[in-house]
Amino acid sequence: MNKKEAVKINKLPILNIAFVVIAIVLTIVSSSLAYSFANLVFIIALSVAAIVMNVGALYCSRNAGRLVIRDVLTWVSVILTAVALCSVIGGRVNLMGYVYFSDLESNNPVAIAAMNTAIAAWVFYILALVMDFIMGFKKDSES
Amino acid sequence: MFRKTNLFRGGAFVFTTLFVIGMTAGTILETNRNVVDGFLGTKSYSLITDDADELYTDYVADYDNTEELVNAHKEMGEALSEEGTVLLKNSGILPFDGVSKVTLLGLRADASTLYGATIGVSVNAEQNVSLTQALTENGIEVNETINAAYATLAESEEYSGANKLSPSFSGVTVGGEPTYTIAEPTESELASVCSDYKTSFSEYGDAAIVVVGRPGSEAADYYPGSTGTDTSSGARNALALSDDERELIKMAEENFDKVVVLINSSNAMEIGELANDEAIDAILWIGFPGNYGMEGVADILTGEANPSGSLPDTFASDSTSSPAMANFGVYAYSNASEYLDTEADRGDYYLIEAEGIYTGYRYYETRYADVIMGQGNADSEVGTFDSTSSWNYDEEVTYAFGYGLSYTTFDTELTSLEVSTDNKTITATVNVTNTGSVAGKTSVQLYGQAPYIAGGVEKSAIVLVDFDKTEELQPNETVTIEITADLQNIASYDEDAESYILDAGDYYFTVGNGSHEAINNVLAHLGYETAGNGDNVLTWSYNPEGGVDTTTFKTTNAGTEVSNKLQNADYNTWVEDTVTYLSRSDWEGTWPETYSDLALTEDMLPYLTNDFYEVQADDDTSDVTYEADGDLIFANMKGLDYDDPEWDKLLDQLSLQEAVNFITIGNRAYQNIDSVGFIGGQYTENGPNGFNITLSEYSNENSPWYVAEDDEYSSYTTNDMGSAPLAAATFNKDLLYDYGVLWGNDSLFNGIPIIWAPGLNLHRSPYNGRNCEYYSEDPVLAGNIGLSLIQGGLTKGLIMAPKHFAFNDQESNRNGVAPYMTEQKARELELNSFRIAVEGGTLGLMTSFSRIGPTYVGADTGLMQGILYDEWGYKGYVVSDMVNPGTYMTWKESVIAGTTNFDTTEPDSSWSSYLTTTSNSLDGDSTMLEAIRERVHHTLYVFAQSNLMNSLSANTQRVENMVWWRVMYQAFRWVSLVLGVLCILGYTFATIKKRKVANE
Repeated sequence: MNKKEAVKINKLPILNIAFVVIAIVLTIVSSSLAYSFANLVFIIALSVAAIVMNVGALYCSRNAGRLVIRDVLTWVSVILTAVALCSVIGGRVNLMGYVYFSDLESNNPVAIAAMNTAIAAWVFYILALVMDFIMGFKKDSES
Repeated sequence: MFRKTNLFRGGAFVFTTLFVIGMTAGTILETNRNVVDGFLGTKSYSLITDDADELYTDYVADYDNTEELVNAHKEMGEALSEEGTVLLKNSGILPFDGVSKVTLLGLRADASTLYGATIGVSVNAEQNVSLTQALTENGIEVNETINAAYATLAESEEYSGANKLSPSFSGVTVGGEPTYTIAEPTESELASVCSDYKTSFSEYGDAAIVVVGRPGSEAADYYPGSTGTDTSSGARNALALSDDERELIKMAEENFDKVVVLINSSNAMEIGELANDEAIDAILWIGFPGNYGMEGVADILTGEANPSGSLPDTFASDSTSSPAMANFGVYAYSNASEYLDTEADRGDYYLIEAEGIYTGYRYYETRYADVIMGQGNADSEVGTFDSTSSWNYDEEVTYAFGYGLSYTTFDTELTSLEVSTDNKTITATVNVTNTGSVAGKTSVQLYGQAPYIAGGVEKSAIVLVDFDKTEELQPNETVTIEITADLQNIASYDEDAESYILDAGDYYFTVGNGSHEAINNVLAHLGYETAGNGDNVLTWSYNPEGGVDTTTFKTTNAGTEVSNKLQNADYNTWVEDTVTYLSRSDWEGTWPETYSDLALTEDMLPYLTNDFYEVQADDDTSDVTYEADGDLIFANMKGLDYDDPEWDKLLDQLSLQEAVNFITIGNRAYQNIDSVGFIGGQYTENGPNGFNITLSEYSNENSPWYVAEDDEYSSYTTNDMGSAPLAAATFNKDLLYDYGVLWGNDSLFNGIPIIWAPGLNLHRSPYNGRNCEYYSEDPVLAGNIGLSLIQGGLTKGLIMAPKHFAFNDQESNRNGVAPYMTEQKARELELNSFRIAVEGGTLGLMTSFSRIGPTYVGADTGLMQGILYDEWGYKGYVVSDMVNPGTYMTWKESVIAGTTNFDTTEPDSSWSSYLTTTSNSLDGDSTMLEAIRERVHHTLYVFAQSNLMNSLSANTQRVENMVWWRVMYQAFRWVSLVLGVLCILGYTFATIKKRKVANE
């Protein structure tokens, strides 16, 4: 088998990267609105690392001989994205209680905006993960 | 096989993600287990003791079951309102005579009554007894037609939020829309939901009871003028009446012969027009009555109870004209953006309290006295709410502090005074005679005036020195009340002498129905023409050597010398001659300006950036012992004195990591300290108006007072009483003591030995949204009422931790706002309230969100170590307010200053370096090591005095329960892990096989 067999470039990693970038931006916006994330730098670092892994995976996917490396990089990307997602969720647990389950912040538009923006960030992290899942389940198309 | 590579790969991605989510969910659930347990009704841990029969003997409940306990609550709630409701005006229609059918008017009369606050002193709505219900029980029929109309309107979009003073937990900023909308339906709106509502008036026409009110809330403030409300509504301010409310009252006056107005507010409203309205027959201030307070209100209306409450605050015609309101709200340092990170430092905002000691009645009565005496330009225009040419008390004040009427009359005579030989206390004897025709109680308010020297130390013309309350007196019955008062309450703090002082001269003491009657008595005694009784004044002539006594209060009861500790709280210390503080020597010339553009200085930066203690690496730490061998356990320390040598032995056994964890994760659930057998658990609940949990939530199954899930009252919440100002208005220490005993019983049933309550801050102005949590504008009233409650709780082993120490003078930007003030003001006002409570035996405190000057209060060594621990001899524990956002609650500086615990389940990441690398970071700092040990000492000592010890013996163990949510997340986590690993293995084998096949 030709180890340098070309593999059709998939759009999914690019979408994944785009979603993570959007999630990072939304996380930063949420943090700047109210109840800033104490671990914002950590979240950004994880997310950027996930992007780097995906870029690496994208590069490796060009070469059929590096598919295992691609899979490992994507798997690491999944872990990093999931931890980033969980960090953003964890950073908004209290605020969620204040906004949705009490009167503490239910009338504060800034806090509500911070919460809603964080939820949008969650959605994009989840979309990024879904792209990874689809990539995982998708058969490698060989040419 | 290799065709399944993608399935294994995809499965690995999915299950890895689910495992990470499961791990996170577990962490979140365990971190917030107290909330989860409370929300889901689970118990995630239990304390198990083999010899449980020998437990629960130190503190014993007064009630056998929850039904008795709940009934006691109902009785106390009714009693608080009977004694706290204040009759402000009565033309003679109260108590009702010949009134059997009434109409309740106003959104808050039935549908949207303010039983408690939005946040803070909120109550369980399901337990409310409405005014309609209470009146019906007292034999009065209520117009249900109009009630139904209001109920319909109350559910509408426009009025459903009428009871809310929009809070913002992260802080409050002003700008844009007014912060409060006065909501009262108009006649046409009533007609829109019930076209013939007025026809019901004739059937229920014996009297109209009109209710007007204002909500209260933590994390919110009122603001003056158009900033606070839409002034096109006809209201000058949010606390004044709107045109819709005037229309409501006019409708009552036009349709009913008898009109009673109830003021349903914990903030002093601006109701001069009601007082002057002759068509209004009676006015009652009812505060926030809690679940059962309306029973007491109905008792007063029908004459089953005789009102005996006295106002805990001055009701000004327009409180925004007071000097404190010149600086109230949001003021940022002009150069903050150059130096500070707004979110991280929380140092941008300040507040200049240029009014000095003149808040509440101290302002109004002092200015009045100076007008009468022609002193200090007191009659100038400054501070007049309608910009009249001269200041006039009658125009400025509607009802004075301490004022209250009764259905009977009392003759209260001050008959003798005796000053103790050490000049520290004064004993007043007061004869009280019921001169009316019905039985009743009355408060006995002892006031004093210290000699004022123009240009000298500022002094209020009258201060409440102490108070008491009679038992119920029958007509013509006389009782003699003896009050022994602390003369420090009339002494002044002189920053030059660095001590409380008593100037030479005549000290006048009198009793009166409020501060205004008291000052009038003194002025009449001095020969001025007032409505007072000059004969009801006794004089103590004091002539210390040198013309001033600087020694009597120089040494505290704890044996410590008083000295200046809060000079950094004065902005002038940082930038000289910037702030002019109000002085009665020249009211006009010193009237506060609004300090809105002050700059921070570089000297302030270490404090404003919350980093001013450098951890040392190379100290000699040989004197500080950790991790010594020993077999003492916490259960052995039951009831030991703070200074007992056994504590040293116990503390020697601590590990540093345990101690740091115990301090820094000091939320309601405490951490284990394995080295001394301290079993962590859910031991604290928030107040400030009773336990904010159900009876069964944390009840201990070993306890004889265990409340099981299937108990009839398992979901009953005991934070059911009227708000703090209502309790203060009783002026009844004995009642508050009994109230505290009741909380102590609650504690034995619900299994929580510490409560963060009561609120001892003062009402700097009526515009603080959180006034509902605090008793009064006066420190002697607040301190003594709070102390009585605390002492009652201690009899049942309940530790109360009053809050918020100190200076929660506004909620706006409360997270880190920096109030600046003179040390005299700090000590004579708010700190005096806390001093009274601490010297009376309080064992807990919660610090405030604010700073004092540029320093976070919990980290201010002068306030914490200097005043609290050293001067007052405090032995208890001090918990921070909620660490959210908490980076400015700098933990190392706070631990050094005296904070013993932080209210958080998860310390901010900025602290984590000290948590995760504790031994490396702190091992070389002897001061820090000693401080950490001492803070643990304070908290464990407090637990050892509490009813927690009821449940502990040497063999008590904590057992984790596998509750269903714990099973769920663990199953989720481990199944995901196993499936993830299987997928990875499958992928690996499939890939290897694929390659083998390819190679073949």
